[in-house]
Amino acid sequence: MTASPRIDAEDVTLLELLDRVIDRGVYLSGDVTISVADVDLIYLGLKVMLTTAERADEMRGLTAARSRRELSDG
Amino acid sequence: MAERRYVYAIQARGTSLPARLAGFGGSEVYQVSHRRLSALTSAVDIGRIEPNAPNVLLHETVVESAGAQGDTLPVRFGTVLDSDDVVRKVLDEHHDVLLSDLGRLGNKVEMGVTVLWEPPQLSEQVYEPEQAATTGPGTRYLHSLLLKHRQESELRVTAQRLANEIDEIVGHFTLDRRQSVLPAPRLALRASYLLESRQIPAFLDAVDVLRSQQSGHRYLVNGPWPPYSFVTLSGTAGAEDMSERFLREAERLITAGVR
Repeated sequence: MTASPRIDAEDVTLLELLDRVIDRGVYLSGDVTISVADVDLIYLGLKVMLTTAERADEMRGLTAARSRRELSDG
Repeated sequence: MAERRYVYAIQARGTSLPARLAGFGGSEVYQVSHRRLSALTSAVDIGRIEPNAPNVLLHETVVESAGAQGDTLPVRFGTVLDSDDVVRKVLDEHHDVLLSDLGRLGNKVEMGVTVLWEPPQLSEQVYEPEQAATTGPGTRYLHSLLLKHRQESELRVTAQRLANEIDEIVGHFTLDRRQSVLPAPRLALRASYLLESRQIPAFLDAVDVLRSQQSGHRYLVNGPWPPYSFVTLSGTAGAEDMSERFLREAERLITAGVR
């Protein structure tokens, strides 16, 4: 693996939690009002940022028509 | 500002609630019951609940505290309904599905497995010199696209083979599985496995066996979680329908040196 600053296992756990609670679980449709901030960034304790822009767009009823980024190494 | 209701989880009616369980804004979590179900709820102001780490952790704390009392279905973060009456209406609308899921999943957990790898070397087709001399730039571009597609397909087949091997070993202890094969070049697999709590040690032992057999791969295991990935009312295509940007960031974080 590419050498880089160590990330704690705690970050990975929080990442996994975020993935679950924001994108999975029981979805109650109908009169649900999803209150999610406009902020696209989620700040973790160690200042590692994740973006859920696509998820936020979904919730705002916008069609995500973003171009793919090439995955970068490392 | 009108108060609304934040919904954390679904339980069977009559399930005990932890004493003084606090939700967002310090509001007490209480149950809104309808027919055979209860929704764990707390009053929230109409304002936003940001998906930041403290709020997500609070949501999860309520869900897991509830789970310690009895069978529980986790509700997605950010579910806010207008009033207790609306909560009851929603419970009524989805009653049978929720009740069925509660019976199927309520006392189960899920474990997450992420497999990191260095993508294996793939076959590379190159133009013969005489071909290169006779093809134009457009053709060469299309050829490169085709080559890239073939390489990705080859990689996906290899990753799927790995996923099948993992299924073969952990499948003895698990009840169901959701997976995303090769969500990113360095993520061979992300999967969630549904199992009974008592099977967690055996599951972890099985993953250790896989680690020893495939030393070139890195296995990251997390959990146990409430069964988020296995509910019927998921609203999207399911656990495999993950945010691509989220996954790319996940790859960057996880390959940055996690131990």
